[in-house]
Amino acid sequence: MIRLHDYVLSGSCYKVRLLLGLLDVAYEAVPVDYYPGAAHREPDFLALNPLGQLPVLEDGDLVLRDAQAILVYLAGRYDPTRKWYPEDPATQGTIAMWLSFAGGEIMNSSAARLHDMLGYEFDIDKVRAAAHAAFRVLDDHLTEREIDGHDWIAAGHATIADIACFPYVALGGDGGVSLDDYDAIRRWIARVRQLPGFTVMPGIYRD
Amino acid sequence: MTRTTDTVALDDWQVVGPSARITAAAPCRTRLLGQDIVVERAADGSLRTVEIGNDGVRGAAHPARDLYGYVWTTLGDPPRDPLDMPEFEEAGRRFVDCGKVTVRTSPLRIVENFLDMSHFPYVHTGILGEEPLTEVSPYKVEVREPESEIWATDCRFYQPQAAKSATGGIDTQYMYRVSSPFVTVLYKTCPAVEGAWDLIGIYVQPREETVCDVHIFMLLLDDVSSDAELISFQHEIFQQDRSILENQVPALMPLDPGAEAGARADRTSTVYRRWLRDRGLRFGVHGAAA
Amino acid sequence: MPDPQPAASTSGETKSIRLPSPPHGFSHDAWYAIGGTSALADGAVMPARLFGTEMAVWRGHDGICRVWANRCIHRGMRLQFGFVEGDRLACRYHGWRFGGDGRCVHIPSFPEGAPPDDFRIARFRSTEAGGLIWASTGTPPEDSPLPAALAEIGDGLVFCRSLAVNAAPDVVAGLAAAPVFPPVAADAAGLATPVSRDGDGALRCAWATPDGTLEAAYAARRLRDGVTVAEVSGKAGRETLVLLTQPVDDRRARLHVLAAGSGPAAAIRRHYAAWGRRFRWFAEHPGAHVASWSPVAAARELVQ
Repeated sequence: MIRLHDYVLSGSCYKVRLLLGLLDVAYEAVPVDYYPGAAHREPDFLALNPLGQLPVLEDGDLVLRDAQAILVYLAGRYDPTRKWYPEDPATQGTIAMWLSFAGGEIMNSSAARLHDMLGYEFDIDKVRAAAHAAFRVLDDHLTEREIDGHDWIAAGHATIADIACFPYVALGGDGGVSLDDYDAIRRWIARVRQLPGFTVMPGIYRD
Repeated sequence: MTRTTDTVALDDWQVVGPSARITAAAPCRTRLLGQDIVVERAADGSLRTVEIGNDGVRGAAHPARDLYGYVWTTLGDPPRDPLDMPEFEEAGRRFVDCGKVTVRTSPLRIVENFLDMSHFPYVHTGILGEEPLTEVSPYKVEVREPESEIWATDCRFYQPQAAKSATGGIDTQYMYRVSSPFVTVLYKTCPAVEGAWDLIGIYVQPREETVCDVHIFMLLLDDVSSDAELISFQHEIFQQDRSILENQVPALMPLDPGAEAGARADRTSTVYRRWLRDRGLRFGVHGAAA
Repeated sequence: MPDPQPAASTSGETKSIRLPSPPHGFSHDAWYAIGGTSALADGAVMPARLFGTEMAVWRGHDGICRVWANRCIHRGMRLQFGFVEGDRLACRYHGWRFGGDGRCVHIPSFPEGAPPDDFRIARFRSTEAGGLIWASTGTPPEDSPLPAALAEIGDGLVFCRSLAVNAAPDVVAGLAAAPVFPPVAADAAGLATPVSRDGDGALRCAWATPDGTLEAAYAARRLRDGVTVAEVSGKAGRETLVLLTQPVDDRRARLHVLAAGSGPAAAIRRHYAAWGRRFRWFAEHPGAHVASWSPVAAARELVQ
């Protein structure tokens, strides 16, 4: 059985929980006392992931860190439809571009959230401005995609690019990064919520 | 930084952090009621709070004490001690500190949300409630003297997953208690031991009128779940509330009876708002300069 | 988070909400476009803001769009986070249901009770016309928000997109009416002529190559506050561009972009959606409005 080292409020862990639910793959969630216990900084966890970060996925002998990498693996291994991570190079390149964005610029939203919720130290104005800039890039892209008749980031159907970008965009409000300006993002969020097997996390509504 | 002038808020005890984390080597620098403070522990274990001015200069000192796993302090002259919880003396009880979460709204909104059951099916769907079982049966609310604490009793609600260790839906019974404007504890059916109550409480530390640190604790009879599982459950519930709390407008809570519409299930909230009006609280109140 | 609004009474009348003074050139008693009709599907809810006043805009499954105060009468929860059931809006906090006229019709914690008549969400005047959703914080004198000139263009107008612009409403409206960069292809290697005013009041700007061949021309007429119609002529022919400025608050606006032309709708939408992004850049970088500006230099500036 897949084991996912997990924390309920982590958007990065949610990327994996979300895809596992959409793929209808069973897993065991191993709760890590991320806060207030900081168990992810202790030697037992560091042996699993020297970066001291969640999520970590174990599947048989394979141990993977990094939410984006885990999404690539799960789609490759458990998706018989080959839709979540299609095999053609152009789509894979496009998906990789957005996975990078999800683990990069979008993470400013995660920083704003950690600052606002748990008091992590960040230059909050800078981080929020960077999150807004990233959201604007995604919103402009989704607007173009809608004009071209497509509902999803990287293909004519949902892919792991959508799953990777979704949590910290949808949770922007938690860190004071409002989605009010991003019409196309809000419509895309509504579509993601309709995917069969969609599951929520706190801060994200079901309908 | 602007310290409040509201003596009702000042003449009271507030929590600033867990006792275990405030040590001689690790003082607690924080803000309370608009005042920057540092809470220090001496080598002999005693505590005190010192005000820090806008210029960083140390100012007046105030008392601080350990109680029920947390450090409490005051910037004024409280007429009574913080609440009494004899359950902490009981054998088999497990105390869990769930950390603190910052919420940008009035402390009064946070307490009122904690006292409310009618949001369970909508905010904690599938956990503390679900449609169609949305009705809140009538319950009792009274102010108990001489402590002048609000108690709501005979509360009950059907819950699909009442606690981390729950294996199915149950009719949960609740009691709610408010011992001071920013301190509230609930007592709920203990799944493990019939007839006993589990305690979950929030100590709201208002840094400013609409920025609060909420310290969450549990006192349970559960010896099955790990700390990580229990904390995870509590965080899930609290975070669902946080995303509502930060979207209530206005953030400062109006206390006038006609300001916001109420329903039968809002009796505890009605009593809480009247109780706050009777005390003359201005801090965190809409339309009152504090 | 935005500033808290004063608590309104539960009577549901818009006049009980205190409104801030509008920026220069805008008025409470006017219609403003707040989004494209196609942007709000049946069953969807979206936020909007006029003059700093928060609104929740929703469309029931009856297809009717309504613009309400963004605040539930119960505990002040923002209704933009609510959900639609049939032709009712439900508040996310306690699930209170509100019918199309704003009246509370169901309180889940007390299902057999009848909510009092005065349990009503405050509402704003709203309508749909010309492919747009319109709203007002006051009482506009006209029933139809659509200026005659827009009604004439009629069905040919395609909604391209809405853009949030971090610039004051009068700056955005001013830029829409006085063009300083070409709405045609960004690689038009020409030079701008000075802006001139036509006999009929339109502001005209043209771009030509060094040998004098006309590349593009743009003639903009301001119909009324915040609404500009422009005739765009370029190599591809003539197109009509309609720009509507929504005054969000003192520092921000939204621009709604519609266009009509002879090409396929998707191509028009794509072109003017991209144009809108460049407009947004210019509106947010006021220092870029220099006399010696050229399209090529501007295009280079936009490369990131």
